[in-house]
Amino acid sequence: MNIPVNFAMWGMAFLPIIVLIVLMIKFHWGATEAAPVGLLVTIFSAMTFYKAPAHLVAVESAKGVWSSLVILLIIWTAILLYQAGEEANAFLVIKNELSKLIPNELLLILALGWVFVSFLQGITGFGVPVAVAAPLLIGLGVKPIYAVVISLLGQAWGNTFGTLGAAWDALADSAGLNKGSEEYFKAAFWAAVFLLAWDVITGIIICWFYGKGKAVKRGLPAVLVISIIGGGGELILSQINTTLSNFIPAVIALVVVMLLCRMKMYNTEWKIDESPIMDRDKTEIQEESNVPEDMSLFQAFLPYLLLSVMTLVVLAVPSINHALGSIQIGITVPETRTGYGIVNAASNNYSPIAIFTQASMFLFLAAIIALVYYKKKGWIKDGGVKSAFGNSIAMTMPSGMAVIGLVIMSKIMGGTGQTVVLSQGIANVLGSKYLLLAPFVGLLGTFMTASNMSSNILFGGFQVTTANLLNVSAPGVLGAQTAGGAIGAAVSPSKIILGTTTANILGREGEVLRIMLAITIPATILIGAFLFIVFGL
Amino acid sequence: MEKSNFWKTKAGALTIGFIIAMISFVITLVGIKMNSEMVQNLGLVLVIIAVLISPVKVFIIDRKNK
Repeated sequence: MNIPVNFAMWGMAFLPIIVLIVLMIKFHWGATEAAPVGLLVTIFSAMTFYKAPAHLVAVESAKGVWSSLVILLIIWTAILLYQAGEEANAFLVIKNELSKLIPNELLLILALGWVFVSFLQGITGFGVPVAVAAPLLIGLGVKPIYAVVISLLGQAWGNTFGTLGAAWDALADSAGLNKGSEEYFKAAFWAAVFLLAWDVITGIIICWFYGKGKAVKRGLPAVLVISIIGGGGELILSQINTTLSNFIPAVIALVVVMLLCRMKMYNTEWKIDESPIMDRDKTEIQEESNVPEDMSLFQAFLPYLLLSVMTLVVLAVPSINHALGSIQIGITVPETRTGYGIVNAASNNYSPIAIFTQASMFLFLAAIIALVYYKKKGWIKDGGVKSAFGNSIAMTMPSGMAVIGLVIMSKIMGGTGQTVVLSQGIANVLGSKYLLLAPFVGLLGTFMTASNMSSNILFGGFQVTTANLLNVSAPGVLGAQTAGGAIGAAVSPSKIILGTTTANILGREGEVLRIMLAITIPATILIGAFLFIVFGL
Repeated sequence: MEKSNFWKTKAGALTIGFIIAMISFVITLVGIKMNSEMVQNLGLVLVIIAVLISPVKVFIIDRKNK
């Protein structure tokens, strides 16, 4: 490779990212509109400054579409599963039954806005937990603004290893980490350490919102127990199986909440009357008439239980995993070369998809079984199944086209050497001080794209290249990248809009954003400082 | 309530974009198989059209129709 690393080349490599940021933050464009413009700039830069022939760009685009398909399948099936519960009003049952089981108001808010949201993030993600939890919290009497804030905080820590590890897999793919390698598990370790800290912080913040020091004192034992099980469990499992490392602890945490509410400390009615986040004049449940009377909590949770069992069996039983995992589909790509000598190797099986062990297959089967079961029980009305499919497609498409645009952009940047130049330029100027910025890059990526996964796709290659150039810990930097990306999921405008829409306070995104920035920026600074002290000094 | 045509909504436009992106993907793969740079480039042009559908709809067509 003989690309000149000068300001013009570096500026052209950085331009697509700048264009994305400016269009989304300054001009409030959605990712679906901004990503194509960023892509056009990338293609222009690739074909002029980086001497890439058109067919190289075409091949990288095909690789991008192929990688996007995996992501889109997960998004669509996750939303379909959510729609199955939504059509049957299963979430109302979950809310009502939990309210009866947990008499302590603070624990109830933690159970719904933090633990249940984490559980949903473990399986679905893509903003679904925020969309589901915000109205449920409002039903408990939480003020709409705080219902959105709590939901955003609750889902954030699970963004990397949630959705059956989709964002983590994207990071491993874009950073070139071989599954099961030492680097792979080291990066997973650091990511899980940062996310454990963030998990504890979010639990304490939710208590603080509810009733300052008094609520923190009351809620701290529960927060610590749940964090150790959730974030701590994720840390341990990240060293064994990254796909299930968020999901299993989230399920156990949900069970533990049920046990906590039987303890002396939490088994009696308790609340802070003057809590600033509660609307004491409006605690009546409005959707009572829609609640299916004969649906039990077990039945409401059934799709998620099925998903858990299927995933566990297929991933944990080696013979089944091997048999089903052997069926793979990949694409054939030729070798391509830029005028500066960047070579992209040929492959007869590029980025293969193991259809029957892929997360979207489990999600799809769980959704179909749920739709059939709820329909048979009469909980889904006529046209409900069709509506679930229609809504899932309508909800997938806006993020889907943004994902396609961003993934193609990242593939072209990587395949033409732009990512390397970007990293080399920063490494030359900042040196090891770059470590302070590493988590902000992850946060920025999620802020722009509303997805920890997209952030990892966009910046994973950049982060690992920069870390290698600076001769600092690549696993540490990748851990900070994805942890920053997960924190960014609490401040992403698209996710905020999802929450304000379902909380019926559309237009008040600025208020939510202000609260979230005050929490997420200091948390990201702490991770950067930790990284610099441990690996940079 | 007036029922809007799905294909005229943003979700509809994005669905069309997705379909075009899939067609472009197939065309590029055919171009790779045939070892034809021309066909691969046609796939590239189509994928660019696919991703541009949303900004064109939001900032040109919808604004014109207002």
